Amino acid sequence: MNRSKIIIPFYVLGVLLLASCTKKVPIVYGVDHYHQSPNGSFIKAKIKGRQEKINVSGELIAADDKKIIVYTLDNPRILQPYALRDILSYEIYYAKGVENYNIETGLINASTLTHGWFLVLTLPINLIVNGSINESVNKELRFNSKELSADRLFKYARYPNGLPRGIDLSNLNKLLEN
Amino acid sequence: MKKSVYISGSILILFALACGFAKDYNFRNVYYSHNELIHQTSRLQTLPYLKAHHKDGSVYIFEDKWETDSVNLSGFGTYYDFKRTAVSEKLQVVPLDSIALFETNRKIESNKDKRVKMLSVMTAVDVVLGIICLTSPKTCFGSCPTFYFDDGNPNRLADAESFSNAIAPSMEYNDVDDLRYSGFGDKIVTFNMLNEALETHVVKKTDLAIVSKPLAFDVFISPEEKFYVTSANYRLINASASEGDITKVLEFSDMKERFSFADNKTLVKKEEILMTFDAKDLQNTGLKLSFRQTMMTTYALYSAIGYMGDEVADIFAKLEVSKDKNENLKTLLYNALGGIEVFSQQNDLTWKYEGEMYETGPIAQNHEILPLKHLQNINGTIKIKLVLNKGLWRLDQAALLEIEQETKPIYVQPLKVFKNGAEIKSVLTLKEKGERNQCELSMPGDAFKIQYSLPEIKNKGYNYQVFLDAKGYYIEWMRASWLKDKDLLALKRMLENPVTWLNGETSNYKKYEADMEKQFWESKWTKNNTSYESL
Repeated sequence: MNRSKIIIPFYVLGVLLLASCTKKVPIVYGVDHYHQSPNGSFIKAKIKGRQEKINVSGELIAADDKKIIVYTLDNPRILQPYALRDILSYEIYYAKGVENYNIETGLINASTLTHGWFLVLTLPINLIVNGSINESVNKELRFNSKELSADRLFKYARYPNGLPRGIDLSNLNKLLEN
Repeated sequence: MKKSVYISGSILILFALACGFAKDYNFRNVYYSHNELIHQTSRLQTLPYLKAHHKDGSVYIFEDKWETDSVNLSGFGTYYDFKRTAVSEKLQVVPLDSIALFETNRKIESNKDKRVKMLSVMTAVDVVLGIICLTSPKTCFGSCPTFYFDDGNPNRLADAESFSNAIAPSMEYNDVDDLRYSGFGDKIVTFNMLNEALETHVVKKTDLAIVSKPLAFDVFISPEEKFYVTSANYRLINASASEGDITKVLEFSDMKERFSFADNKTLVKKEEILMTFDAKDLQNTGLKLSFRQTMMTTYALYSAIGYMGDEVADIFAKLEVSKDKNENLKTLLYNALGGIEVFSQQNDLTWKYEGEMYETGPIAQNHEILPLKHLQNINGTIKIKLVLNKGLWRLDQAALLEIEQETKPIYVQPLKVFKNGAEIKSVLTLKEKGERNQCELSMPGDAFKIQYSLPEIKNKGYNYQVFLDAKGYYIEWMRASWLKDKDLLALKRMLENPVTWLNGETSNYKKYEADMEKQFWESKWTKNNTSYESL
């Protein structure tokens, strides 16, 4: 109909491909090899700060009934303890999804452009269904704070039995750096 | 409607299935003693993967072949120190009393197969829908409220597109379109009003304007929306444009259209079409043109909306309360590009201006007549010149008609209105003047079937020529993909000096121009009717 109508499909395709992208989750392997990881699971947590919420992510090193210790992704990486009472929510990823349907779902979403006015109906449904397919890849490898209570977090830590004897945060920090 | 219900129902079921991917919550367990580990795993047919966490922070990771005795844990595995550096990969023998905690992991069943199946089903559904769309053109892209005579032909081209210029409430106007339909009296006729685009249509009136006329005569409206009964048709002897002879293209109303592409350097450039008619006995003559616009004005309209970006609502709100700006917007493109100007040649070979025709919209053809006041017969022929913007117009027919008389139509309001298959009490049927400011909303995909009862005609040998008399406006939906086009400075330039803006847009427009018409219609019509030209 005009330039926009002609190039809209390409815009939409781009948007859909981007929308279909899932966030990259560092650490560990596909679901077939999750048990071979010697590391703790990857944790993303929202922490109640003094004034605002803090987003924390990194390897879960240890967890007990009072705190968790996270080896952050900051540069340089540091070990950081957080009191359980300050944790607002968290997600634990014990493996990284190796399936990737971004291209497939992006193309399927884009194909709704051929549906004419049905697009009004089919595009959002496609986005939701295909989005849920993509989401399920990571969702099945992830627990949130509602699915996994804080008292069970230790199972997913590098040291499920707590920090090794004779090692505290300060010297572990140095040891891990070396 | 049923089709869309089935489709949406099916897709929602898929959605429900997609949400139902199973999740394993109990694949990992921890044990603080060797005995507990043995008790919990001895009855399992397959041993779980085992991690033995050493008291010093190191860890042994075993595959599913490991064993214990009263003293040691042994099996093939990898030993990592507390920094998680792999130290050894071999048959490990670990004293049980050095282990602080045993961690078992069960193999997780992936939902990959289900996901692949789900994607396959979604692909199949989308492909089927795509095919349905291609074979059922009225479900595909369009623009403005489109009207179709209800003859059961799914491939019918739109008979009218109403109030194409009314892109905001304050720009609402009454639009009379020639439906090119003639019918006898005392008869029910039905037209379909569709919303085929991502737009909200606000429709206040869809009356018919009907004119009684002898069967052999015809009726056309002028640009001033006056109705003229016409009779004889003077033959087009010759028509030529820059590309050469176009007589055969303009001779008949056969959907074969003459068009040109915009100039390579400027979108605002005039061209001429010269026509010669055989007209020996001239009395009261008018030039009838069947025409529509190319995509040029629509390109400009959507560019403007794109420039507004996420401020589109604010800007339109300002336009609503600013009379000057509103008037400016209404005539913006007309002032820049102009209509189809008509000139007649005089005996002294000069050209005299007769008037012009202008209708916005690229979908339905307009059929209008311009009474010619200054015609002069030159050796039994009439010479007419059209001056029009290059690349803006598609002409189907040019005919010289004898005007019998000007006439007044009878207005017929809808008898019944059906929305998406069900009869509704529609404001379109309201007869009182005060009620007629109410509106019928039409959302994308809505299909209205509107029935009219044509009154009886007492004169035998007469029938009605039928026109659509519609009023309303529409709101173009902002697309997320347009938001990035936001450029208020460009919008300002466009509104203040559209000619300069159009000139600046020439290279952009030219990139799409050649394929725009084709792509638009291919997205709408079946393969049999891929465009007007293919009919």
